[in-house]
Amino acid sequence: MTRQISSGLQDRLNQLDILYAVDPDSNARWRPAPQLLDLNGKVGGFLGNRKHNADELLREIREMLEKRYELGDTVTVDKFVYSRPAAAEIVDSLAERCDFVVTAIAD
Amino acid sequence: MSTVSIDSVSAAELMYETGWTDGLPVVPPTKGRVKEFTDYLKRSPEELIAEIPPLGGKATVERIAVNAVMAGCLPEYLPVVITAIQAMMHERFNLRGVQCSTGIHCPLVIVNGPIAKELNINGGYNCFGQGWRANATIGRAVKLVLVNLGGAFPGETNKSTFGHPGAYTYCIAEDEDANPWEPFHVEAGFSSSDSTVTVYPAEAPHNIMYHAANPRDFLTVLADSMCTLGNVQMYVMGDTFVVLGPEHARMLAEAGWKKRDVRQFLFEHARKPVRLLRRGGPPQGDVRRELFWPRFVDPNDDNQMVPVVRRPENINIVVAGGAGGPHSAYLPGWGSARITQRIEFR
Repeated sequence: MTRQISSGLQDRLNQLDILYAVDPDSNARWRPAPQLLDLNGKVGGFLGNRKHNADELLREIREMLEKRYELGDTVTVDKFVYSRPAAAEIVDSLAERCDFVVTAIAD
Repeated sequence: MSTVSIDSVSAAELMYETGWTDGLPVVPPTKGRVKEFTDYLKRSPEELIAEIPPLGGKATVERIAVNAVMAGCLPEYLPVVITAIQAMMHERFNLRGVQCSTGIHCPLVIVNGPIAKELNINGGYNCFGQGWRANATIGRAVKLVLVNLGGAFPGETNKSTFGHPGAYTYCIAEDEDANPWEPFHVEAGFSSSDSTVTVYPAEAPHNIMYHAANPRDFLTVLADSMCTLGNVQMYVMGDTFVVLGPEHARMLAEAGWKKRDVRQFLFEHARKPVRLLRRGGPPQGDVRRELFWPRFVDPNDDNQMVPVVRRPENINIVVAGGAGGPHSAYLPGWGSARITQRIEFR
């Protein structure tokens, strides 16, 4: 996240005509998804990054959720390679099919 | 215009409070100084150059200029900085991954063409070191943009285990006068009169010492240093970079070696067998390495030899460094492509 600038510091920067090195609006572009109040009956997605530890972490989280809740279904998918973002079709498919998605970036 | 004045130490401390520095003091980016930079370009300060991942901060001409001022640039350096940012946005550079990885790589900026001399960008003695304003501040400006607008703060979205000394600055020129072959950017398809920026996520330079005068022996030494089991490239491929010192480049050229011969030799000799590579790399254990390795490699055959890159063309060769030293350098990459772009902002 971009460093937050206090109003006091902002005033001092303004007094000296110092411009921002950051985009002050960038943080606002990111927001958490709406919280799910109940996972029962929900479809969970599990997005792996093809790294061994991520696979294990995701599997354990999925098993834990399946024990605690009666999930409607689960969808498990790997992105093509760990170092790149998931392809748009994977993200779109998860967004369409799932109520929530868990991803892991374990190295 | 402000009527408030401030002494230099207080200004430096004020900039530290913003969290926008790299740990070294910066020049305060006042409106007047930033305007000198944007006026030099004769482009709208609001023009959007890129949205820098992972945060997606909008890198306008003005915001890039702000970071360039902070880095200590001169206005005439700005076209190089902007072109480097543009080049890094290429999908095959994978800037998001470069910014966030646990790895140790850092974007290196290589400048070719007439602008290198015009701006006095060092490609000679100590080119990876200190002492040249253009090298120091262009590379620094690029990194400040990536952090301040991309939000890649260490330990937050930047998960680099060790970081990289080049994260302060990492910029050289090719020494085209010492290059016995065609300049790097000409080989990449540009005119010798073009000025270009090449970006490449590189580890720190690894020195290759060779004091004798046998080209094949020298290349064997170089190839051996390129294909170590800890080199991430052995597992993820991508582009790789060799910086030949002038002594070594001349030795090869005088013996009749063309750059393509050098590249082919390194491709054929910088290899490790599957059985050794099975022990290391990301991730350990059995993975679908055929996703990365060339198709001619059978990942199930322990005796197959795996090259450091998929094709000879992925071995990039530039000439730089001081004369008189029998040294070259190898810069492992991170699976990304090097991107070369003409400087248009002039």
